[in-house]
Amino acid sequence: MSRRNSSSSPLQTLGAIVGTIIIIILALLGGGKVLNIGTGGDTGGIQDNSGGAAGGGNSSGASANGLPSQSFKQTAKEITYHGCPPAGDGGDSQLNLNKNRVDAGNFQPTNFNAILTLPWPKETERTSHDQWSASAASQVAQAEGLPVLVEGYLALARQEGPESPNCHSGTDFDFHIWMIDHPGGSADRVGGVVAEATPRVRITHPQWTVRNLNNLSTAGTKVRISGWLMLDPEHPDQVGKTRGTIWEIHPIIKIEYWQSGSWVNLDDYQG
Amino acid sequence: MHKAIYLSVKVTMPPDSQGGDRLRQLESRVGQQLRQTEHHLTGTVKRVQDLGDQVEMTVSLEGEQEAPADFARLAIDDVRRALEAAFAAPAARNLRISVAEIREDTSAVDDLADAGLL
Repeated sequence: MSRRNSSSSPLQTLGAIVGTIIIIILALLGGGKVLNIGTGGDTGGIQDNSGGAAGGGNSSGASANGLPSQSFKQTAKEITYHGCPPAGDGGDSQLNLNKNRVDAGNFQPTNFNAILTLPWPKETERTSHDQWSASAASQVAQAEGLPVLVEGYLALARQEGPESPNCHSGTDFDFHIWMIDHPGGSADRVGGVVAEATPRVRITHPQWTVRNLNNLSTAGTKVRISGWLMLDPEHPDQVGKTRGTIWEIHPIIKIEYWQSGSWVNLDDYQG
Repeated sequence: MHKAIYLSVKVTMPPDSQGGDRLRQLESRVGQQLRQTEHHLTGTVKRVQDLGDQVEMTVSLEGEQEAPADFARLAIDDVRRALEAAFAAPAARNLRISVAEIREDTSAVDDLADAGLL
């Protein structure tokens, strides 16, 4: 730096700093990096989520981030199930309402990788919706509740345990279904997106069994899952181990599989 | 309605220099306390992990409650009271244990299944 620069006015110095910041941001965006800018937590403020697997499928009506446009959102419909209200029996009631919607939507083809690399505010992790800052809530709202249709493969399906959206029922459990972008198994979940089949939706889809889903996984059958995009802040500890993101397709509304050159509804699965 | 829950229970205790005896004592004592809690919940210890400065237990509880009532709060309060009473008992004083954190563990089924414990 020259002495002339070092003697710049405060206004000029401020302008230089702002310009540098803008250049850094543009460079990062241009490099294809997806940054998860956080505000706290023990893993630092910035998390690079760009290491995910490449996706398949295609997109239409998509916004710049590869997700469907906001115009495809709709008012959620929920039901009381086995005496359990849509808000569940405690915890994060907004999260439970999101999980317990049952409405079908205008599901839009969405690239697997668009979800896998979608950032989230770090402050949301393990935190109730009502504790989020306005900026975090606004960032999540850009994607949450979008109707997505994603092609991929299944790594694993598993019945989960009791939780607040299902009023901690000892009999009504979600299914975790790990989607990946290539045929694979349980070990590939680290690059996966979790999709969840809830009891409120499964009640009308008796063929959505863990066994049938794992048959599709074992056979390496391509699948297409339609559902609502949702951030589940309860499982950040699993990222990098058994999932690639805390963004989920939750709940799933429709499952199809590829057979003999066409998509077949899992409701018609013959085993 | 029959309900169930998994809790993560973290306690602080001195390092175990007796080949795991203290952890086994802890698991046994907590297991006894969870056979029936104040609100008639029953529980078991599914896993004990030595985290160094803390010990984490994965505990499952079940019992009856009206569907919309807050089961997590009930279970956490019950377990906290049961453990504090257990650790205060004369027979447990040599363990020098205190409760650090009790929270719902919604990843427990995945973690236990992946560890081959379900």
